[in-house]
Amino acid sequence: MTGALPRISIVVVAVGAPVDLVSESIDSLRVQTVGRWEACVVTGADEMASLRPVLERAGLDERITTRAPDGMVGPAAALADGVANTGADLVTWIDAGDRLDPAAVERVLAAAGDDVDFVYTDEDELDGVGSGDGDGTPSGPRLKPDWSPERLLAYPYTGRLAVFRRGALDEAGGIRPELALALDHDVALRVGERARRVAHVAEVLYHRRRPYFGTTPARAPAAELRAVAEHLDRIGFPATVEHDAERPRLLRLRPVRTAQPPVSIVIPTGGHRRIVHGQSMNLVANCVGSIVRRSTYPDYEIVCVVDESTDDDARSELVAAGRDRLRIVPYREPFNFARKINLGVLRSRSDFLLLLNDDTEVITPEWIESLLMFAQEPAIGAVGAKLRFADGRLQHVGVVAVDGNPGHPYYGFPADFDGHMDNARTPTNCIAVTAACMMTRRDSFESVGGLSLEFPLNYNDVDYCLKLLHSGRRMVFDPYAELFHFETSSRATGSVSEGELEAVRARWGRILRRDPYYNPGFGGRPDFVLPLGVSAAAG
Amino acid sequence: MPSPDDAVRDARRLVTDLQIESVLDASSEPGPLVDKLRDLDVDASGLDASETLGEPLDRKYDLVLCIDVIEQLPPADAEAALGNLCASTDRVLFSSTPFEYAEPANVNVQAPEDWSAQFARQGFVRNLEYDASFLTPWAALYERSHTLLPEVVRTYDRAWWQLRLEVRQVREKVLELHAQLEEGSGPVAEENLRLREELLLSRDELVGHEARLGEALGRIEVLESELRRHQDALAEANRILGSRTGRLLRAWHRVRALLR
Repeated sequence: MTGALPRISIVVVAVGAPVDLVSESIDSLRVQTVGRWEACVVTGADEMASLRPVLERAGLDERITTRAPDGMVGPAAALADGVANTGADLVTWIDAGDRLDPAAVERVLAAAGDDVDFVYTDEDELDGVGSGDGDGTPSGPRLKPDWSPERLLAYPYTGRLAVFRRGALDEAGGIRPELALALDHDVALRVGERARRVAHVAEVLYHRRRPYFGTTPARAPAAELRAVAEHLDRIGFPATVEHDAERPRLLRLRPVRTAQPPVSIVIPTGGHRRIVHGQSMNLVANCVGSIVRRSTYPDYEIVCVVDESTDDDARSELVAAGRDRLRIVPYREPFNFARKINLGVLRSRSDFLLLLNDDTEVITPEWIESLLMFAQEPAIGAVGAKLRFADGRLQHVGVVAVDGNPGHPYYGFPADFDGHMDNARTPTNCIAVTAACMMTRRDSFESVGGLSLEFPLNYNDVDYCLKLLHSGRRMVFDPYAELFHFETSSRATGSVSEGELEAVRARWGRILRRDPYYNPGFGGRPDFVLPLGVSAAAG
Repeated sequence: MPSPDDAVRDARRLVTDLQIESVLDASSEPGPLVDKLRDLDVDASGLDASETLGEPLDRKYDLVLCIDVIEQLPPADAEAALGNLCASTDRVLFSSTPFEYAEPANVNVQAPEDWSAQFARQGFVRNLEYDASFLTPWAALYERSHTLLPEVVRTYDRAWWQLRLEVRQVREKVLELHAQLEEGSGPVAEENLRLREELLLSRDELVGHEARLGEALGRIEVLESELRRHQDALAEANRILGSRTGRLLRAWHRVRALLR
């Protein structure tokens, strides 16, 4: 150790790339605001001759070296060679044609504290294929959330620029060239699962060029599955991975059958009726009936906390729907949603709790298995479901706080909406999920004092999740567990009490003003809407 | 791995229940069960070193034991192995964990119904009368069957609806007992519940105070950094005013005022 400040080795993968693209990448390095970097351009032996003069055209720079490893097989192997033959504490790689923002190295170094093993930044895409085509203006920014382990499971959201502490990368097994086009995801998973800390720089510092290799496929489906399957195996996550049937570009997780712990479903109800699917329905009987009919999970009890005012008809419809699964807990106090939930939980028996509103209806038969797949992990505090209005439009895909206001992104968006970087379709980490359908562990519930009575109607779920977040646990939105939520429009818009909002801000103002999973680049626009004139990132 | 006592019990049980004279244990390491069966004059053997499940066996047995081994073979090998075992007997006592994915050796964990389907392709059907759960909860005795589909359905359905009824009765009984228990222990249970609820409330209150304290500290931090910024700005202003540039600046301002 020289005691010098840390530096970054940047491997430029230039196998088969036109030389002017290589020099574009190199030019973006020369203008960095700090000089603590070295670059290694890896290329094919036969390309070396044409590359060297282009690089030297702008003057010799001893920080830039070139390599043409023997017996080269492809870009991934070249990258591995480049990483092995550079020496700085931090290491990253870019493809020829991609450009770094002038402040990239400076910002990454500022974020790379001593305990940080992995830093990633936001990115966008340069239009045009190869230099000279298109106008080279960036589009489609990918504004990412802060470190989200469950998001990374089935979605390589960290992308570029991804900078790793060399020691952490080596310990995690280094670059595996056989993973080819899934290599970035593989490395992010392996380093991420053992990293002391992962930092996110919420600025677009990487401009990605669309692939210039005419013959290279954009994706490697088998390698994608392998990278994720091996990660699941290593961390003992009870799931398998496959390609999503509806969106083949996405991966989806399937729960595997492990020990099947009993689950207590807790439903507070007043036995109300409402028009659903064009018919007047006893909400709770419809909800409980859908659980009993559709669920594939074998071991659960349903604990209904029923207002004393509930009429006998509604009660007997509920009993008929729940049969031998059902236990009724009478509730005699003045209305308090939080209190009803707490009481139901105290009267239930299982270690896994599923809090459910009575105006919901199960859609996906494997909903309990899917929620359990996440909830079994002790670091996960609560898991929420994908909730839909009766016509299929989105009601809940996790809770996001914008400028101190917790809310539902994509509220009322079309049924098949994908979201920014597919965040309505893949598991994501969020600060909170709604208790309209939430799985949580009993030990978590008890350790933070359940739902707070300070919030009789609203925000008791947000507060509950923030208590868990404060205690170091993560929340997950699970898109594979789908239910209808026949939420009344009055409850959605009218009856939110300012007092409860103030109370939740008094407890959690800081986190609500800077939601780590909401990128400040959205500029306070809800629904992850990008600033005007910028198209959304797909895929 | 069963203990020697278990093995004695299991061996006796197999001999009495199934009237067997010859047994093959298809485990990779035949355990105490083979020894105990031999003690009971059964012609019991494990696989020879030369034999593998991948090749047809050269003789017939009254019973083949395939306990906790098949999940360690890759799917194609497992299917071939089951074919070979079924070819050498009319009865297979079978068990394979449906849960232990995490065990590295278990490369082929499947649900019991998936194994049943594989046996069915070999012409073997679960003997629903035989309760093999003394081995594992999911153990089953599969037998060669020439029964036609309607008869198989009848047998399965009889077991299915009876079990269904029984489960329902048991669940209802549990609910009833639970209610009785709650009623019987009345005041004690209510007191217990009240205390647990109070504990929840206290914990919530504690976390709430902690959160509000965190908020207050955060605000103090912001104010402090604001204060530092102002102090720095003030110091910088004083420095400029005291410097040569500052003096020149002031002189120039005076000159300009005089000129006006």
